[in-house]
Amino acid sequence: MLRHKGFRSLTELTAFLSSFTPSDAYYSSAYYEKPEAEDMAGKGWLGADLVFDIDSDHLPTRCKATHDVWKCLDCGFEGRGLEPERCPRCGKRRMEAEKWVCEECLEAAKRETMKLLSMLEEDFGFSPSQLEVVFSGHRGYHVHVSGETILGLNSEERKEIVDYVTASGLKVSLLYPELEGGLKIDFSAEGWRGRLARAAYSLLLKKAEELRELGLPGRAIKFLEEHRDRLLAEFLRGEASAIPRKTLEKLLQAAARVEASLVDTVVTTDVHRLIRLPGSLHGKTGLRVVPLRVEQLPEFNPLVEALAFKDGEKVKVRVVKAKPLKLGGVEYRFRPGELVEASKAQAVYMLGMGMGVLAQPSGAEEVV
Amino acid sequence: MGEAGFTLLDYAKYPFIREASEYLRETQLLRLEDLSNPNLKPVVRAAARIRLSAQPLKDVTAPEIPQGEEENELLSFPLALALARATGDSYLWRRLALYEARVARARLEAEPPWKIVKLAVENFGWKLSFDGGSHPPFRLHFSDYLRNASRFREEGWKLVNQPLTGGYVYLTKDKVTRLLEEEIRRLIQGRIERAPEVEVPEALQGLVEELKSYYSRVRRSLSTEELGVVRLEAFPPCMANLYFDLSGGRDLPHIGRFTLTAFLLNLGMPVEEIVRLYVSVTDFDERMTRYQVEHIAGLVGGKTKYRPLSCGRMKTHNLCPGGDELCGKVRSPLAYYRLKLKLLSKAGRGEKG
Repeated sequence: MLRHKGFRSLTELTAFLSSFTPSDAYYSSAYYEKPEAEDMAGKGWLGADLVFDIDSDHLPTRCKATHDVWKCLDCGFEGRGLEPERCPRCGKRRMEAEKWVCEECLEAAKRETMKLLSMLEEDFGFSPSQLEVVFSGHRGYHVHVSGETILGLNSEERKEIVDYVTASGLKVSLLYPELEGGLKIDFSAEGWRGRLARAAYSLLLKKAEELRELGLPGRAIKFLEEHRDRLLAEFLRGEASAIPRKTLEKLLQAAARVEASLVDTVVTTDVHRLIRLPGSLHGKTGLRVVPLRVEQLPEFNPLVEALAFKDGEKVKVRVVKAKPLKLGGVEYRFRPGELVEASKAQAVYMLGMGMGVLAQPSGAEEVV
Repeated sequence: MGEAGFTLLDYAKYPFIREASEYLRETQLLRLEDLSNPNLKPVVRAAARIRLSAQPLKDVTAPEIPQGEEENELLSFPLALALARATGDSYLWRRLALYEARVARARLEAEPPWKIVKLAVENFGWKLSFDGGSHPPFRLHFSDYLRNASRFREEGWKLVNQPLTGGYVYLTKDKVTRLLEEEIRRLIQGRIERAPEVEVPEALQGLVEELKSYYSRVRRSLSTEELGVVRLEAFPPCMANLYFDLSGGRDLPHIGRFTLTAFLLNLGMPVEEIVRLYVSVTDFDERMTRYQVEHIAGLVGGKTKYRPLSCGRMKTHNLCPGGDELCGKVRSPLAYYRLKLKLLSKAGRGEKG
């Protein structure tokens, strides 16, 4: 790893990258007086962009049950899906997980990013020109926020912003102090108060099954189902008198869970963070780290648009790990040991992710 | 009253603002050599400011400023900072800054909105405005909000629980003045800490010594008064540090608060007194503080009565300032206290016998 590099111009940077050709490239979100200084203390920290990282690997998606497996390192218990914090059999925390990423994972990461962007724009008042969304090249997205007002924020202050977007420390009783009686449902209220109202309204339209998944207790669900029409009408009038206080509190808490954007808390609070360089290639996938404007995100499909190697001759790849793969709009299903004629993008992805090894043309030895 | 500028009375009330310093510079009122008599009004008042900061700071009242005394009042502020600086006692500095900030807040609460806005914008660069039509009526940019509120530990101050829209938090006057208090406290503390070492005129050196010994005396009695049956002189260095930091208005890290609370509880200090100690110097909500103290005492929640961290774990959390001789003989702050108490009572008997 080569660190503490500084460049005076874009030409200098591209010249360096094309001669050194690193597998992965990162840059610092911080601004320094002397970026080239070898020790952190000597760099002279001036400020840092506000950065968010949304990684699908810790998002609880349904597809995880089809492609992720985990194993307890203490008792050997195995399972599928997102690994639990503790082993359900022995209660220990040492887990080994084999994770994969699919289209559904990336869609989930996109949804979290959209929630984040709407909070950054509406609540924090950032203009789209201050926000840059970047496909990370692998499992998710980064959001970079620049501007005078955030440059000097320290870790503690950034933590408050993370808590805001993840709704952690959110207290329904503080946002709705009148919960005890005469509650006002105000869809246009500022901040989380309005957001909870809007989200609670859409929750009222959901099926019991979905509400159960959100952790609402059975009794609350039963009540909401039975009185749905009346409650919806009341909400639209800005009232919520027909709903017991406890049930309403549970509903608003579930609304907070739905609306929270599950960003990686560590990345944002670190004021010296290294982030993948937009425009570079991800060393494992060969996909491009694509910078996007906010309005491009909804239609963006990384598995089509982030492909760097679009043409060139086919490459023979021996499958060693049969995982599902979808690239450039084509879905692939493999059998272990199969020999496939892959496009260049597909081959780079398979080799980088450990799915396959390069097969030499005329029966020569295969190279790992 | 129109939205005029600040008056001389405002300078006297808020002597830390930029305009007040400019006034002093232009009028050349502040000349240490002219003030080298401890009986001069500004000097007397400066010493009083320092003495007042040694009081419990829970409910600070702002002293009256009699008509015609504005300039003396104003002058006494930089003098008080210079005298504080000359004592070299950083505990005194922190307390003085906290006291002055609380006085300013008490005064700000009675001010019209425009004056609060002007003070915050001109001195601290806050993006703050007032709109009587909105509720709550003050609008503050979230970055200014965070710079001050992220130090407060209460949930009611968390950004996630504020009405935030378009980059601005909507706040009541009460909250704005509390945030300003924090900003003012930091400003004043910084001014004392960064002040150059100035030669105090000889005539004032006696006063500096007097204030110094007053403070160290009061610090002990203030501490023991607040501590009740617990004997501060038997505290290990780590707990004494935490205790002085807290009573000097310094924000303790969570683990520091936990271990100090557990320590005091284990010494037999009543929950009520510990709650009063926290509430008097911090912003902690009384109800929440009581709950947390009771939790550590094992009265609520998991019913575990907690003990303070051992010496080893104090070191891990950077809370051990390096021990004294006695520390070498014990492995926990509690053991230190018991041993020291024994030695103290032995010494006490020895003197009598």
